[in-house]
Amino acid sequence: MDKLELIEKLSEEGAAKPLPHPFKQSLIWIVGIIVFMGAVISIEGFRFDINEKIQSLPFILEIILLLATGISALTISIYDSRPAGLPSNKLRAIPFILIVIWFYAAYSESMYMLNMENFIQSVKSDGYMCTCHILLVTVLPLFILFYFIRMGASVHQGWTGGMATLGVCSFTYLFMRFVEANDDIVHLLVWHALPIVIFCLISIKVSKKFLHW
Amino acid sequence: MSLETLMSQAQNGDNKAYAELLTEISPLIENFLKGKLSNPEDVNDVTQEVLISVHKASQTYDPSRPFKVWLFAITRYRLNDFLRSVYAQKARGADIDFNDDDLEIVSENDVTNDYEDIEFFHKALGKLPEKQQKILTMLKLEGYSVRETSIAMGMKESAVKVCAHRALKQLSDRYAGK
Repeated sequence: MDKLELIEKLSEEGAAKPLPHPFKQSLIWIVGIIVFMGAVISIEGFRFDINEKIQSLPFILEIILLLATGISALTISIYDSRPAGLPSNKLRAIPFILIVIWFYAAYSESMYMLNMENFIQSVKSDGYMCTCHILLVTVLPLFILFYFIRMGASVHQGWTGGMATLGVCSFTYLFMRFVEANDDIVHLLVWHALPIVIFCLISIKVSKKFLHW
Repeated sequence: MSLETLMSQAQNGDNKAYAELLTEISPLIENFLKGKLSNPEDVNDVTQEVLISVHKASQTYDPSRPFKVWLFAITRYRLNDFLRSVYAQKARGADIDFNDDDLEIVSENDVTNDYEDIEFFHKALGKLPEKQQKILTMLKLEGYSVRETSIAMGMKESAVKVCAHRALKQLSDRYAGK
C-alpha cells in the first residue's frame, strides 16, 4: 500500500480518544489495591499480635517502606505503559532503592539468623502454603492491572510488566505481614520474598510477549 | 500549527487535523530511519509500520507532553522490532540469496519425468502448511516473481523468501527420506 493511501485510510478511521492521565489512573489503582487488600485482611483477620506489632518501630518502618515500594512500582508501571510515559528512565530505580532500605530497616537486627543451616531448615518446612497464599491474593489484581496496562502501548514491556508485578506483590507481602504472625527472617525470605522475585522475573519474560503490540 | 495541537485536535475527532499530522510526521520518521537503515525499501516499510503504530497508540498520547518525544519512542520501538526480526532471520540461517533468476534457469535435466516423483511432490506439497503451499505453488509452479508473490500474499519479500526456503527444505528432507 502506498504511504499516502495509508495516511488517507488511517485519517478516515480517526485517532482514538486519550486515556485518563497516568497520575489519575495510578491513584485509582493504588486506592483500589489498598481497598482489595483491606477486604482480604478483613476476611482472614489480623495476626493475633497486631496491637503489639504496630507499636514496634521496625514493623512500622517496614510497612511504610513496603507501601512506598508498592506505590512507586505501580505508578511507574502505569506511566511506563505509554510510549515515553516516564519522564526519566532513572525513576525505575526508586522501587529497588526502597527495597534495599526496607530490607535494612526491617531485618538489620536479625541478620545473624541468615545462615545455611537455617535456610535448609526453612526450605524443608511447609512454608509453601505462604507462597501459595501470596500467589492467590496476587493473581486477581495483577490480571486486571495487566489488562489495563495493555490498553496503553508500552515500548518497554519487560519493565512495565515487571514493575506491575512488583507493585502488586509488594502489597501482597504487606498483606501477609498483617495476617501471618511469623517474623522469622529466613522464612520471610525463602517463602515470601524469593517467590516474589521469581514471580517478577517470570512476569518480565511473559510481559515481553503479552504486552507486545 | 504545532504537532501537539494537531494531535490534540485529532484526539477530539478532527480527522483533517489527523491527516495533516500524519502527513507532517511522515518525513520526520523517514529522515530518522534513513540514518539507521541503508535500504530505502526498508525505510519505507518501517515508516508505514510506524504510522500504523502511531494510529494504534493514539490514545496514549498526553497533550501536555511533547509530541516528538512520544513519536520517536514509537519509531525506535518499531525500528528495534524490525532489526530484531532481521537478525533473527540471519541467526536462523535464512539469509539466503534467493534470486528470481534461479527460477528461470531450468534445463531439461531439472524436469522430472518420473510419474512417481511427480506424485510424491504433489502429495508432499499438499502436506505443507497452507501458506508455504501457496507460496511454493506461485513461485515454482505458476512462475510468479518473489515480489509478485509477496504482494499477493501481503508479506514482505524477505518473509516470502524465508517461507519458500523452509518449504523447499521440508520437501527435500521428505524426498531424501522416501
